[in-house]
Amino acid sequence: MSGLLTRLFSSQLQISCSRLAPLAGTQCVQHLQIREKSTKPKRRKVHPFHWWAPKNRADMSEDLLTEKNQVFLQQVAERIYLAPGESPLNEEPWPIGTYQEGSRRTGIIAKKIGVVPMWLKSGKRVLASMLHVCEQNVITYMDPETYARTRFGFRGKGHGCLIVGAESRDPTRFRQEYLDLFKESGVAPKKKLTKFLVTPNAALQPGTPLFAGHFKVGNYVNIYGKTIDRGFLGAKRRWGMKGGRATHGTTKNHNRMGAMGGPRGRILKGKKMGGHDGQERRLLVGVKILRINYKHGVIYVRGPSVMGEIGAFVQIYDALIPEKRPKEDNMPPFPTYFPAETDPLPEDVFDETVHPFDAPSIEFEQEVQVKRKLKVKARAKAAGKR
Amino acid sequence: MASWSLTQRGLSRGLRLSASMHASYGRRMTSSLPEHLRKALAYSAMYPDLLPEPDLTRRNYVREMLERQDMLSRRRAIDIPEFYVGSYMSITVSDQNAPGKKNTFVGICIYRRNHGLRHQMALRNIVENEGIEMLYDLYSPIILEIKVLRLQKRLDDDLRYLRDALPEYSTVPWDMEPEPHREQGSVPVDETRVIMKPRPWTQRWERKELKGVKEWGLEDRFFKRAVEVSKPWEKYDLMKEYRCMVPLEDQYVVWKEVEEHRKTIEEEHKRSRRRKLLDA
Amino acid sequence: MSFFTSQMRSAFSTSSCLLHIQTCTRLRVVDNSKIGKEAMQAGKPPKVIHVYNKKRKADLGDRVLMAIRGEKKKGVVVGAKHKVQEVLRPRFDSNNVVLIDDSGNPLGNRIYVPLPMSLRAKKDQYNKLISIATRFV
Repeated sequence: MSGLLTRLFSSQLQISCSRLAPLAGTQCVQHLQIREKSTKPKRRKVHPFHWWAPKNRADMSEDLLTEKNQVFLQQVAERIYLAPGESPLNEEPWPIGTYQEGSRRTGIIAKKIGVVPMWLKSGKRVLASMLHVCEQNVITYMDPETYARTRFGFRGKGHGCLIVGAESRDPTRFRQEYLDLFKESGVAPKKKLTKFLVTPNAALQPGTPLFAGHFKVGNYVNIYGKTIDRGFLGAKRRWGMKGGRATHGTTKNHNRMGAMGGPRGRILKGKKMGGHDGQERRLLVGVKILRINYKHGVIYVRGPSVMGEIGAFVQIYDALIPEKRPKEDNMPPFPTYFPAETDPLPEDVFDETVHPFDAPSIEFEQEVQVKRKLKVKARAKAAGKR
Repeated sequence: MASWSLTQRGLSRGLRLSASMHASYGRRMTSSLPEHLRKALAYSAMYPDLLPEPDLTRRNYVREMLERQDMLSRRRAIDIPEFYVGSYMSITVSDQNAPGKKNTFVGICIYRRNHGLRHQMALRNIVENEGIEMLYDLYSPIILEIKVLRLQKRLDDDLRYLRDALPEYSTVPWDMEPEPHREQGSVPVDETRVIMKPRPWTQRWERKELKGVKEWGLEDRFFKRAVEVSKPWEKYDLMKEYRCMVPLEDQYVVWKEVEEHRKTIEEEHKRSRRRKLLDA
Repeated sequence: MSFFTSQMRSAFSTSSCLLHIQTCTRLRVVDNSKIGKEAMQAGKPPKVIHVYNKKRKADLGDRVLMAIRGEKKKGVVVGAKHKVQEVLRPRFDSNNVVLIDDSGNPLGNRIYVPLPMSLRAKKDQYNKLISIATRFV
């Protein structure tokens, strides 16, 4: 019993909601708090995790640099760090992996820049979210054994982990612990860092730049993003509850929850109540890429549902469900796109179902024409059979 | 400094002025403006779709540039002529259900709305004593042809009140031939003022500050209440005007591309239009 | 930024009357059927008592059941003044209906207003109706 107690009190699990129970084998009744593990995951992160390298400098006013020295520091930074899009030259290039069945390659960080309408060749109007691929580099690679030993590595399931960083920033804005993260890759310190799970054959050398050419039109992607911050919401609006009557004598019960609990004598964990809504990480599964503008690095993805406000970061990676994996005739580059001067990408590529804007207007075929075509088809089929 | 603020103010007001004010006040104002500002005023009336939406939270340089590229591409594929609210137009679209897979509608343009590729316009006509309105996406590839039968402006920017006016004001002859209009110079303003049908109306038009209505058929109490409910201070609200406007620096970026487009693509379309008129 | 956007959004719907065709809506008969003409002349246009679709809001081409001069008759909605206008869907100034029998044949033999082109897609149901129509929009 005592062993159980020590284990309970020394565990790092989030515990709340207690039950009182009398201790066995004692003269006086001493109530013991038995706490249940909270099964409710934390919805939103309000502060950086304590195990991250501290990032922002609290106070920059103590720098007291003259303008000349500020310029000098910028020049030093440019000399030390790689320019955007530049590849690393400090190490021997790693071997490039080959695609196998079940491989998983890296994803990309992009910014949501808006939603525009597009028209399909049938004349139907669809909305497309525009995602602007930021200038980004691979920061580190962790092989599966190393990643498994990290805090959330148990979720890795044998995958390695690539940390990708986007949007270079002035190094004087960051703390030394954060700048040390970028030593291995040699890139300028980045504003945004994310992780992507990859199979070892898709490992990329730290410093490798990633581009919009990583994806191909017609592929399906999953998108992680942070939803719009809606602030504090009442239970009715937050959870879509019905609330109370608007009229017929209802007194002060138009937006309230109603009944809260059951016969358990307490409110169950996870009870839907009012609280902060939004600013949560959500996954959008299996959206199709309708168009890619390789020149400006903009990916058009079907639907207006990409989370976040305009200018928010999102993570894009290949869809995992079998129906939406890329087909053999439309495989994206593995492990990523490496720009080659001899074989440049086209400026703008549309999916075959999408009507390009410079094409002539859509005209539907007359019934006579359709019937003629069907006749020709039928005749060809009959001839083939013979 | 004083002259710059005057012209800035004049331009911002001019960009929100309706056609009638252009006719009287605007003309005096515009003649004193330098040429690039005068052009900006004219283009923002001719191409309201090419300007981005002024909402600061939704603006993004890359998206606006790519959207503008797409719009000018579409304008290369099809001739989208200059038209205003109040112009008589004929639009042909591809229609699966129509006998020849094409459907034409003729009418008067009653409103235009939205920015960029979402720009829409509505045509209204009275067909066999039934009032019909059709809404079109300007950049939809289903549209085969847009013809302006009579290029003109009206006294208001929004002619939705024609729904509650006598039917003769919404009627456009279905077989109307395109009238030749002066390519250069100012756009003619049709100063017709309509007679309203008796109430009930679809909206309280007496509260909307309309210039194109001659006879309301209303008692004095309606106009008294309209005055009580009105917000006359709004025309002095500089911040409100600022929020509805795209800054001049961003406008010039757009108009520069438009100038290029006018010299090349629009000239070609004009030539083919003239050729068609001569052949017909 | 979040404060500004949450202020902009309202917590409840503020849309005005949407002018749907639903039960108790009065429609305008636009054909020359006897019962339709009598109803319109008497100043008692037909009232919808049932809409034959899942939403119970009638749109162009939907069938409705109406009470007209004490009788129950079926009709096809051929004109609707929707509040929210959709692209390429014509918006009429009045809610129009053509009386039909159970098999879809119109009771009259002339239609006085233009019909929407989208009706032609339902050729198998409304073949006769389309053939007596003079104008499509």
